[in-house]
Amino acid sequence: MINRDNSLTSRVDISCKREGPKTLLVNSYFDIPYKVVHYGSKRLQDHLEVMMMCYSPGVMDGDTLQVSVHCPVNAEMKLFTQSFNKVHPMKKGASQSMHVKVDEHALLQYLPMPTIPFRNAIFDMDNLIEVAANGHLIWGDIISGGRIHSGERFEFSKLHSRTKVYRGGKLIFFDNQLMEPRKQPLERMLFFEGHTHQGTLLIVSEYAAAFKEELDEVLTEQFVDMSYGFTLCGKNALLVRALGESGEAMHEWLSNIGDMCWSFIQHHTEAVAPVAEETIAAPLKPAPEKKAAPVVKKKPAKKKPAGKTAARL
Amino acid sequence: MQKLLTLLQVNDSMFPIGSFTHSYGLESYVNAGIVHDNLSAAEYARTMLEHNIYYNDAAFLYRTLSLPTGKKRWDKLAELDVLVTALKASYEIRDASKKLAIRFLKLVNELKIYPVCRKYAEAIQQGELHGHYAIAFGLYVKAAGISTEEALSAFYYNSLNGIITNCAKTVPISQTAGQKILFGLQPVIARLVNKQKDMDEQQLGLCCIGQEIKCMQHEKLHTRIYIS
Repeated sequence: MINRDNSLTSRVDISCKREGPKTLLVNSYFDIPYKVVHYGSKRLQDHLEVMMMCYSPGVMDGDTLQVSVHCPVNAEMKLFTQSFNKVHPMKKGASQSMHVKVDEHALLQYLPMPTIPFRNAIFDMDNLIEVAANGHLIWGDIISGGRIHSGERFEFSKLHSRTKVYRGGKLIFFDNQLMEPRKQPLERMLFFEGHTHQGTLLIVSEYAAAFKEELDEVLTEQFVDMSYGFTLCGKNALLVRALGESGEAMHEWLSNIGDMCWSFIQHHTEAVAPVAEETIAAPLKPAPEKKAAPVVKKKPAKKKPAGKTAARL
Repeated sequence: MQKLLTLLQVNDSMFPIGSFTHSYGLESYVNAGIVHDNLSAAEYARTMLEHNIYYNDAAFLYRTLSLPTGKKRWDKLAELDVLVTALKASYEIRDASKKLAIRFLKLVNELKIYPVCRKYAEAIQQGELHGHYAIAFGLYVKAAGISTEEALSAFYYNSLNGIITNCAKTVPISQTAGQKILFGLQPVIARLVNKQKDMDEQQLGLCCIGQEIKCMQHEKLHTRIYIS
């Protein structure tokens, strides 16, 4: 909807359903300037791949966007965005809120392209994510310090992003990030520390701890141009965070980890609970089998980090 | 007098709850060569106070001190405990908060029993609540009749004292340089204590991304003398 002051109030709804082996797009709704389309051919894979597109130059002053994403029982969806989320110069501010639901045995991956706040941008992001106790979520976000290559470095006014994740109805993760370059030493110690981009990848799944063991084996060295860390931010939640210089490189890196995790989760869930060919939802059947499932893949070997038993000073 | 002495005792850095075994990411900073001299140690200490502790542990303490009395108190406390657990993303930091809470409560329950502290300790033991040091500390000092301002000042002071002691040990900086930083930051503490009540609700638990990554990296450091 176009408001009197030319700002846009938009809504995007994305929902899907599982039919046999396939997940299909249903009930998608979008306002200008957004569009939801299939990402490539929908026959290429069983899961659903959709892309959210924006055909305006980006977020303008006063714009508000509300997105709701629903992944019902057993559905598997990868949601992409087509372009960088460009937040233009403004006086009042713009906002975006997302409400995401991932039901039992459903799997959702969402790794949007980076958000770029231009000079004087004011942007508020609010994400509410509800994951069922047996649902799986792979969620990312990347925020840059501005149009770095145009010489705009941390010149936005304010960016506030809040992400609350509930699992089985209980709050398990709350990420509260406020960036106000004029009030915080954003480029200094404790914040960006000389880097220009920050990235986050969150995995919520009963297999999160097992997947961390895989990462323990793979991510053993730091990169030259990126500083990262990962941790179990909850019993069934894994958090990867990184600081770097390139939004694209970071997006690719986090996507790789996300895809790896996607396959990892699918590998386990398929072994545990093959969905009956024609049933759409049979939550009662796979549930009891699931508990008996071996969580760790083939190699249980996990190297304990050196010095785990820290010497007392 | 009695209240002041109680506060001095339970807030002492030598109060045997193991707080000296944690660096809260500082060890990673020293390891990476970012905190390496007096100047960078001072910057680290100041930024921690202003941008981390103010929005996190000190804010959690303030919330605990402001808990309503009566029936709703326990529900609000349980809610706060869940919120703090969700905010402390780094495993070692979350675990440090739990360990200190357990040891603190165990010890103070031997000194003087307050029902709410005992109930919190039991809830942690039984796994109903996670347990966090700032909450445990807040419950005890409030029950002991210590004022909000004094409790907050002491808490900031001891957090800073911990940072300075760790800097003196690991960077290393001289004891004199450390004490100078501590003394120099007194006005900052006074200012933060004063404006604690004005903190915007939406800013509770703000994350310092670089610091959080350093806390995560600590899990993988090759040689470590601290638990976090």
